[in-house]
Amino acid sequence: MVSIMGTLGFRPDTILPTIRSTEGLQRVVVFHSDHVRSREAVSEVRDICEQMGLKFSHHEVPDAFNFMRVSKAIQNEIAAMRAAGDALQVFNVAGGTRIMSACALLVCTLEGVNCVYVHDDTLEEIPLPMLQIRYSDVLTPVQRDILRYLLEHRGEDITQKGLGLAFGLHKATVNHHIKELTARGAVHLMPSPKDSRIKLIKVEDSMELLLGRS
Amino acid sequence: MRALICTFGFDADKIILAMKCIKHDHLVLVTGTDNLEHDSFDRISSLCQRLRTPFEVMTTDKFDVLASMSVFQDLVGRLRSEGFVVCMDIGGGVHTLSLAALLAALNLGVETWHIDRDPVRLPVLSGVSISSRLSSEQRALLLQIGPGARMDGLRLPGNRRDAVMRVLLELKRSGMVRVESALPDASVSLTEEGVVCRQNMMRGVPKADGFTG
Repeated sequence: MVSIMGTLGFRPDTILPTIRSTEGLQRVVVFHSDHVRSREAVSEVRDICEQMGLKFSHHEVPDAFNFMRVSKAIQNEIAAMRAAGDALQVFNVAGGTRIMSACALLVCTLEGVNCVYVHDDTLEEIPLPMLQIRYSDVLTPVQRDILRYLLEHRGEDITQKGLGLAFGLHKATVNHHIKELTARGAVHLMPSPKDSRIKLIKVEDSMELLLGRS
Repeated sequence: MRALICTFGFDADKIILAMKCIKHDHLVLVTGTDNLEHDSFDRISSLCQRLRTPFEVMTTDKFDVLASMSVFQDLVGRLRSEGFVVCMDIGGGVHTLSLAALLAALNLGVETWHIDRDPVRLPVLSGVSISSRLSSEQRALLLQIGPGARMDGLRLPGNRRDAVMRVLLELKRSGMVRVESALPDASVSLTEEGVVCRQNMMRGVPKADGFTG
C-alpha cells in the first residue's frame, strides 16, 4: 500500500501538497497534538481523504512537546507500516509543533525515510536532502549492547566495573568502549552522590532511538 | 573552547536556559532579520556583555529550510576551523529554522540539544558526519562527479573498471548519485543528497571535534 505520513498542526494546507504529489497514494497517516484546532485540521484532512477514497489514520500525541513520546510514536508507526509491507513514500514534516517536526526529521533520518516540508507562504512542497545515518555501522555490537544495557538499567548506579562484570569484559576493554561512547556524546560520566571518586555511567533517554532499528 | 549555536525567535528565556544548561565559551544566535529589533535580543546581548561571553549573530531567511541549512553548515565549518568544539540548541525560533539546524547537525555530526520546557539531548552522535561515513573510494568518485560526468570518465587508483562500477553502485544505493542513460556511455550526476554530501566533504573533516567516526 502506497502511504505517506505527516505531522499536522492547525493548517491542513501543510499536508495537502504531499497528498496531491504522491503517485498511486492509498493511505495517509498524520500525527497531531490534542489541541482543538489541530483536531479540526485532522477532521478536514480526513474528509478530503474520504472523498478521494484514501485510507486515513491519525495518532493524537497527548504531549506534543515531549520529545521521546513523539519520537517513539513515529518510530513505532514506521516499524508497523514496514512490517505490514506498506511502502512509505515520504514524511511531510511541515506541520505541528516544532518538537513534532524535529522528532519526525530525526526518526526519518535514522530510519531512512524521505522527508518534505512545505513553504509557509508559497505552499510549495520542497524535498529535504536526507542522508541516512547508519549509526549501527558506527557503533560496534558491544557498544550497542552497552547502550541497550544502560537504557534498560537507567535507574541504577552503573559503573565501569559493574559493566565489566555484566558483560564479562576486562576493565580496559570497558574503558575503551566508554571513552568512545563518551566522545560521541552517547553517554556521560558523573560522580556518584555517595562517593565522588566513583564515576557513574549515564545515558540520555533519547539514545533509545538509535537502537530502534535492528 | 566550545561554541554554542542557538536558533532564536523572540524568547530570550529559552536562550538563557540553554546558556545555563550547555557549557560554552562563545555564543552564536541564528535568527531572522526581523528578530533583531525585538527587546529580547537586546536582553541577551546585554547579558553576554556583562558575562564577557563573546557573542555573535547570524541572520537568515528563516522560512527557507535549505538556505538556512547552508548558513548553519557554513557557520559550523567556520567555528570548527577556528578551533571550537561546536554544539547546538534548536529549541528557539520558527520550526523551519530548527529543522534547518537539525539537518546541518545530522550532516556534520554536531552535539545537538532541544531546550524548551526541559533540556533534551538529541541522539546525534558527535563527530559522526555524513562524509566521514564514506570510504576513500566513495569520496574519490563523489569528487569527480560534476556536470556532464560520464561513467567511463570516472577513475579510481589502480584504474580498475570493476572497482569503479562497484563503488558507483554503492553510491547509487545510498541515494547519492543517479545514472541517467544506458551503458556504455551512461552519464552520472549527483542527487540533492550527493550535492550536500560533497559540500560537506569540501568543508573538510572537523578539526576541533577530533573524532570522525
